[in-house]
Amino acid sequence: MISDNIDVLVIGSGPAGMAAAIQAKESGSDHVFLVERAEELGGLLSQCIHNGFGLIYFNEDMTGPEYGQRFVEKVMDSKIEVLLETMVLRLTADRKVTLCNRNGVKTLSPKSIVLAMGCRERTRESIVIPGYRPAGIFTAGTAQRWVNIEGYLPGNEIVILGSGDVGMIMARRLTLEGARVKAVVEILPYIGGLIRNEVQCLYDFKIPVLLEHTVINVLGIQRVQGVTVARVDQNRNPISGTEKSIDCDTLLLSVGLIPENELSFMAGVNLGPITGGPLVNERMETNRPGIFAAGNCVHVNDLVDNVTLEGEKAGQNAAEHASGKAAPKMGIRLEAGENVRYVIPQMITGEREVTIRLRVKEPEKGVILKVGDIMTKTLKVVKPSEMLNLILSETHLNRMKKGTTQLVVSCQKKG
Amino acid sequence: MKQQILEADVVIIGGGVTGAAIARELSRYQLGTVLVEKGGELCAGQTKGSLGNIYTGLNLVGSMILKSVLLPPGTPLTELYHPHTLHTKWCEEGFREWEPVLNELDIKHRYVPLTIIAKDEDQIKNLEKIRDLGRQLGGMYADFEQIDREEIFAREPNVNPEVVTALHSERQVIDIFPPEVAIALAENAVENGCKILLDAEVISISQNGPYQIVQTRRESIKTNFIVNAACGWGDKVCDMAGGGRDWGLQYRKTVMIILDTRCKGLVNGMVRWPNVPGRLDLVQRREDNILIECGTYDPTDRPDDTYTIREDVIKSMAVAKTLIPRISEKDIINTFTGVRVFNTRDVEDHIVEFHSLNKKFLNVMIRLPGIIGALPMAGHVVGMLQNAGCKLVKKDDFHSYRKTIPRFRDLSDEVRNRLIRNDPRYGHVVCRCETVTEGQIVEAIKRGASTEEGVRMRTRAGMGRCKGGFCGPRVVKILARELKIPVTEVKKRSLDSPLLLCQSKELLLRNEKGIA
Repeated sequence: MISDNIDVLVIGSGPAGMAAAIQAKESGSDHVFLVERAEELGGLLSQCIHNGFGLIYFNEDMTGPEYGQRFVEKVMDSKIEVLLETMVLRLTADRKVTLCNRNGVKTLSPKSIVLAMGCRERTRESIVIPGYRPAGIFTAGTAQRWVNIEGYLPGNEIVILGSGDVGMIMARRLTLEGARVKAVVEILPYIGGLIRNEVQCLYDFKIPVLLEHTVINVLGIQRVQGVTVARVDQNRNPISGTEKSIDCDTLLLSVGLIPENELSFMAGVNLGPITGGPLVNERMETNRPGIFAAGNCVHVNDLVDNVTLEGEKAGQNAAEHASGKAAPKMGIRLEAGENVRYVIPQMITGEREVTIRLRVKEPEKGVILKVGDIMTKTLKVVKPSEMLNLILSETHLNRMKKGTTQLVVSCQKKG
Repeated sequence: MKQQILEADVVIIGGGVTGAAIARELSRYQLGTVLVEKGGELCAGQTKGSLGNIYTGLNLVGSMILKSVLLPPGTPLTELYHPHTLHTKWCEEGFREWEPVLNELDIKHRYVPLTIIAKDEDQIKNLEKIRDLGRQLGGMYADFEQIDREEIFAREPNVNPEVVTALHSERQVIDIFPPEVAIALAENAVENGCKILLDAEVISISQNGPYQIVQTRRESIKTNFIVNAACGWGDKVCDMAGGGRDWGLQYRKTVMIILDTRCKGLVNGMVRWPNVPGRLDLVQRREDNILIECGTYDPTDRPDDTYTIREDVIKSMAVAKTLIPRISEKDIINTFTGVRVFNTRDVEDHIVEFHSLNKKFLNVMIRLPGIIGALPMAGHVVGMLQNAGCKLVKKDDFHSYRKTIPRFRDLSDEVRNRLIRNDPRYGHVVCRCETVTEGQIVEAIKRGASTEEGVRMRTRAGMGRCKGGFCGPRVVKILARELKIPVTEVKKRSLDSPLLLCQSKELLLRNEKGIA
């Protein structure tokens, strides 16, 4: 029987959730619950068997499962109450959370909640790819689960639409499995994911890349038989006359990730129009007191290490909230300015050092990054796929004029 | 595959709502009834791609105008109503007939209000046409009121702010999920002794003395009577029995769009612009989603042309936004295309007739709206078979009731806990978006789902916003486990739609052998 004396309840046991739960425990919360819908801890880390994890956090190059295992062991050692194959059915603004598993449905009232539901993949339907509805169309992440966890291949001849990181990693993975990846098709003039994946997954394996192209047709009624691709113009519309068919039995989609926030929505948490995730302050707290959020449900991160750091921050502050400590006032709003897509967090105190993270809209060379008029930094190159970290020290913050309530973060081209 | 010969009194060809309704009706009698379906699951054709409402009255007046696309231009309005046709009769009577059946079969349904709105002069003129025709016809057709702006926004607060007037009827549209209706009818038929063969496309029909032999891709069946309810493929099936039909089938396609449940508050019932010939523009609540169908009935040459055209989706969304401005592309979770079949020999009516040369071969070609007509059609078909010499003796033990698979999402926590206590698999939520549990999926498989789509249509698993991104692999594994087949044998919907082509490493081994 689950007792209802809970300090911190964390929803989702991916890197953000595990870090939040561990940190909450370490910050003094006695009763920490970690709720996971899947069969095991770790979220998507278990299926990310490639390397590149932990370079920042552990200063080591690890695979996803290796990275995850360090946290799984800590969770196990630190008397965190883990509930697997448990779905959260409801969440209210006053932190009533309804869980469902094989023991039944139960509503609890934790003192703090950390939302760490991660993200889901954009589907064929959400980007409206025309055609029939054959078998053989998978999102890259689902295909990854099939190959790496379940041990099955979705197909033999593959076309991948979108050059997100998961798509590129799957291009390499499927090639290593003996499948033929016939093209990675990207609508933008540049690759969507990290440079390291572009090099290590596509170029090293000589996978054909079609930039400024898209899939305009899926052939096959029962199973995919091919796709038609076409070049696109500046407005991303297909140019007629440039169509060509590629025979394949499988189409993978790596066309974007959407923060998973159905529970946040139910609880009346304010979501940002650009990030699609909760608007958070520097404590990773949402507009609903005692409801914190971290990781890819807040915004789609570039590196797992950063997700872990966000989770730790949320966990620590969730523990503080549970202990009854009063929250500081968040008086300064951070706004995205020129060529900045978004900034995390959106609210800060302005009175203590804080790390802010941002993503640019367009790739650019030779830029000046500005935070209001309290900080500037020059950078050689910026890319939307790689987030920028900035530390606003107390020295910077002391430069703010009295009465400042907003700082605009911009990324202007030099000169 | 091993060739079996089955015996039957009646073979029904086609597992859409019409075939399923006929199967259930026949299962009341001491008959051997076999239903054969070409697809890997029931309702693989028109029923699946149907807008799927059971409606009468005001909406039917709108439909008359819409479908006048098949008539010569300038046909007067009064010509649109044919009181003596089976079609009209069944659209009027069928509405009442369905209510008890929906309850008997535990089919989820909800009466939804219909609001036909108008903002500019043309629309008002078209709205007045519907109003006047409705009032002229009287009775249920006149059972609506014309409402002003204030009342419009009280009932549908999110419609276009420029609307000036509307026609409104309260209880003339029943929102249902068409596959659920067909499946519920079929399940009840099976419980009462009917046999269903899936993946059983009919290849030939031949005579053998007094019997007919229906040869399918699987078994062949020796039968006395055949009911051809193959809808879009009905003419081909009829040709196998000797041709002689002149239905002039036409196929018209429209695209439909489903929005995320997050938007459900945008519409309470069905909201539409006044119909004009060949065009319909509506946005409606479908359970907790929003369903959009805004477009023209575009001709195509194949009944299975469910190809979705991107431009149609874009155009449809643009019109939908004129109805409900807050609708957004961001909320699209599914788009699909439905093909409607029209016969042009008798544009006003269903075709229900014995083959001119074969008095034991009954052709059934339903005309839109099809679902409402399916039930009266079933009763009518039974009567025709009896007149043709089919001996009908009522069963004493016919069970008219069917319980639905528990809809976990819709239940109270108390009822959920009771379910979980009896079977803990009901506590294991597999599909997050639609809150579908393992218990439901296992039950769906027990009741005949053998593919991913079969599970989806029976439980809604995979119908939500992530389109099976999370539950997909889990559903496939449950299917493999329950059906005791390898994962690579699990299909999306029919024999030729495998989901996973091989095991990991299998390709590498094959390649190695190839090199060696």
